[in-house]
Amino acid sequence: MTCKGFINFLSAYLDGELPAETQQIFDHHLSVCPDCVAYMESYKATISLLKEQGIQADSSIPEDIPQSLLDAIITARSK
Amino acid sequence: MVEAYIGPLLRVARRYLCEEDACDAVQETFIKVLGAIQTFRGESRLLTWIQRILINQCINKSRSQKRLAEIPIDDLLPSYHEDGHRVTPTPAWPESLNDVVDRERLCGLVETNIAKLPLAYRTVLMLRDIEGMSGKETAEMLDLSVGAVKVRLHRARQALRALMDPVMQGDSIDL
Repeated sequence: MTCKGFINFLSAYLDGELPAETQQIFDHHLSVCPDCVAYMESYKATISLLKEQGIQADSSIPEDIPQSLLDAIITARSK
Repeated sequence: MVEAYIGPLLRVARRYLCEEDACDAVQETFIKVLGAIQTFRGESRLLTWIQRILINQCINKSRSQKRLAEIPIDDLLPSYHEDGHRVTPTPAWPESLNDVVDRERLCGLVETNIAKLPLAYRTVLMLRDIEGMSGKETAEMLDLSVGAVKVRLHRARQALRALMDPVMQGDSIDL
């Protein structure tokens, strides 16, 4: 197992999609390669940042809706 | 109904498009929805159904937009020596990202860096990791295979990781 092989299949590894035997090979690689551990942690942190982006956006309804947009939609609806 | 939905829809459109195009996309979506409301079969929430139409609208608009800031995906993926080891080792990121930059600024940096990804990768990343769609839903929306979505998502995450790396190392937080 090389770092290249590990990183190419990192997503499948994290999603538990690899066969059990391959998963073990990946586990072993992680136990001897601190660089891949650091890469995996930063990859996971990137996913967390993205998910948080979605949560933040969902919880904040924009208040600055342009009046022209409101008017255009209301006009279209009334036609 | 219309007034209550404009806010959430405009927020989604702004993730994909500049302000002017986002407003156009929301307006065009409402016109489509008003003309096709009888085809809504109630299999999802009405807002979800409208959001799907809007996202399609945004993706189509994005395709026709010239983007100057996109970075080729290969420039953002790790490079390897012949023996399979990485050319540049990965410095660890801080455990708490709040230690690097405040939350609001971090969100802005993520958004700015997503915008630098090529469209084919950016849309997959946004649909899967931000909008929370499944691989199958994303594949259907973009007319791709589920396998192609997985490959693009993995590459897009790696590319965004590379773009966020200097920020996490405290080298640069310029927007």
